[in-house]
Amino acid sequence: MSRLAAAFARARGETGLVPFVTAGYPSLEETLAMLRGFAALGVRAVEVGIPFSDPIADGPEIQRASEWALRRRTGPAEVLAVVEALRRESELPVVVMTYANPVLRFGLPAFTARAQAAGVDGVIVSDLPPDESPEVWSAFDAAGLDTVMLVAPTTDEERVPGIVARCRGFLYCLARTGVTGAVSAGFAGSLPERVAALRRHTTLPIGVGFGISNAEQARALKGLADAVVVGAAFMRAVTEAPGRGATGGVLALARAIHEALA
Amino acid sequence: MSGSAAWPDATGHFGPYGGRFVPETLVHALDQLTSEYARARSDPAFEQELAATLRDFAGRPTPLQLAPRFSEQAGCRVFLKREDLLHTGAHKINNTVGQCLLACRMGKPRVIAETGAGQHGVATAAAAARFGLECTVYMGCEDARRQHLNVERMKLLGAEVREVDAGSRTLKDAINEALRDWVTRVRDTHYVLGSVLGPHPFPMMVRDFHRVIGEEARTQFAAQAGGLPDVLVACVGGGSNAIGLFHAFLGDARVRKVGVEAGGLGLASGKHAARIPEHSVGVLHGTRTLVLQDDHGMIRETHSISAGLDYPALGPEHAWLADQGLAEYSIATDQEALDAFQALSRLEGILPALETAHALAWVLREGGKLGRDARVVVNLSGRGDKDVNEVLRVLGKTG
Repeated sequence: MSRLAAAFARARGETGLVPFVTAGYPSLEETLAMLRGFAALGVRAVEVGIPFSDPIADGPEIQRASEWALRRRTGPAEVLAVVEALRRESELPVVVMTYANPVLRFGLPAFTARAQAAGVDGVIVSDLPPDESPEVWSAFDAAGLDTVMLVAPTTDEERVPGIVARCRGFLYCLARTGVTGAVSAGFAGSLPERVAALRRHTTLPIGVGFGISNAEQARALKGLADAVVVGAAFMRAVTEAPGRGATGGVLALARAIHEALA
Repeated sequence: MSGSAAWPDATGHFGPYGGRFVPETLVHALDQLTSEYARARSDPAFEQELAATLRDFAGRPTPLQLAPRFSEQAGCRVFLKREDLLHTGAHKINNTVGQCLLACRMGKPRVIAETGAGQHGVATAAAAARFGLECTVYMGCEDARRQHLNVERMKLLGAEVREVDAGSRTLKDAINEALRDWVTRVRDTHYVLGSVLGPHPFPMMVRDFHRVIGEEARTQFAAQAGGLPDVLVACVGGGSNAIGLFHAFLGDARVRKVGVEAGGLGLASGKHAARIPEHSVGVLHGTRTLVLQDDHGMIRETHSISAGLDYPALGPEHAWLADQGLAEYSIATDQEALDAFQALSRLEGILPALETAHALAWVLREGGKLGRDARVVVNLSGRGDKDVNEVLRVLGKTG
């Protein structure tokens, strides 16, 4: 069983936090400090974003974080080195999240080998649906990397079996139709019904994310999802507290959400 | 034709290129579009309405015209396919009429579009007004400055123009924002993508809507000059006007097809939008194709005097045609394009778009090598009224 699957299996019946941070925002050192803080808090897993120049699935918070990180030349190799540093001291499951092009440019075999060596547990490729580029998915499989798949409010139920069959680690259920950090009122459709429908298709743990930014929203998902994914809100916390306060601000928000789920 | 009719495959791939690299949220809309497009194409009522709208609203067919004085200067016989005479001033309307009709069939009351030079934005705004659709157009603020007249035209046509102040503030960033809008409002919105780019079915569908350019040119050329032309020339940003001209001739190997990319300040300067010379495969805006990127897979900023060619990715079918040697690609620099702009204006009384001027520049540079009797068809894809201010600004600066 993978480190990611095991972390969920140990916490069956609970709802854990999965924080996302864009690596290199505001610096790689602070990214590592945030990851250490998340590990100390006891979050279920973390998602680490490898920045891309044209993040079409991301709202302004993660766009801003990515632009910042890219100005400092934060590439896949630098991000994987941060994961490796964390892995030397922690068993916290790490999922790297990015877009297809940085992975393909790095070279698929090189990327998977480097990710595996760094102690990465899973991958999310935001612009790669399960039916596109099967060679990419098999390469992730061969390297023992869990492929976390997304299900959107617009996903037809007939597509779900194919997505679930391709999915490892946990299934990522999008709370909203939109980009990351969306602040529309309420969740798309009936989230409890959508999660229940997904559970009829799979025994994989289900994480819910997109547009969840505070402890109150997270608490509403307690008992419904196996994990709550929060990302843009952490990047906003960095933007609002630049410099030395960034890590502290991020970890304070993480603690509030973590405690709301306890 | 048998080979080309089979492209793309059922999953939208042109050999190693194309495909569908999108967030899961958009997959349903692309599936819906693919099936609705197939249904429409086998529905005589759709074909009839499309043909009638292209004739009465857009002004098809467009003439094919011999350009005698330009031919004299170029050193070969040059025929112009006058897409600049279409309503709104460029070939773009062929596609926007088709896609707005599809939006109506899908019951989507709102369309969005990206635009670089503004021609696709204006063509979308016009078609949206014609069919009673709400319209929002994304445009980089650098392009909005360069093509101010088109911004005002879009507004007068009832569209909302959202200027994009991110990245290089040009076409690439406008597409990013349009895709984000689509991800957010996909249920009631159709994205009228403006070139042979993006996820399947866009490269195929946009090509099909522009295929009429080459079909008309083929018939007109046979009637006016006899036989087939020796060379077809078109500018290539994403590549919609080029694919539209080339496609009806793909079965004729002896007809050279030349796509002209933006050479900007020259390849050595790094300030250009020529994707073919580097042949670097990547994924941008939903498709795998040739892109300008750095070692980390980050998309590079491009440069061209023409906003419509100022884009880092080539349409995937062009990448495939290039690999197979079915079409060839060259470049023209900003300066060559400016010279050609002035030459056509003075010799033929036609102001070409700066994008189109790249194709004309190739003919001025290479025409002499083709020989006096060589017969060349240039896709005069757009008119240059929108470029008057920019040309005056640049000419003033360069003295």
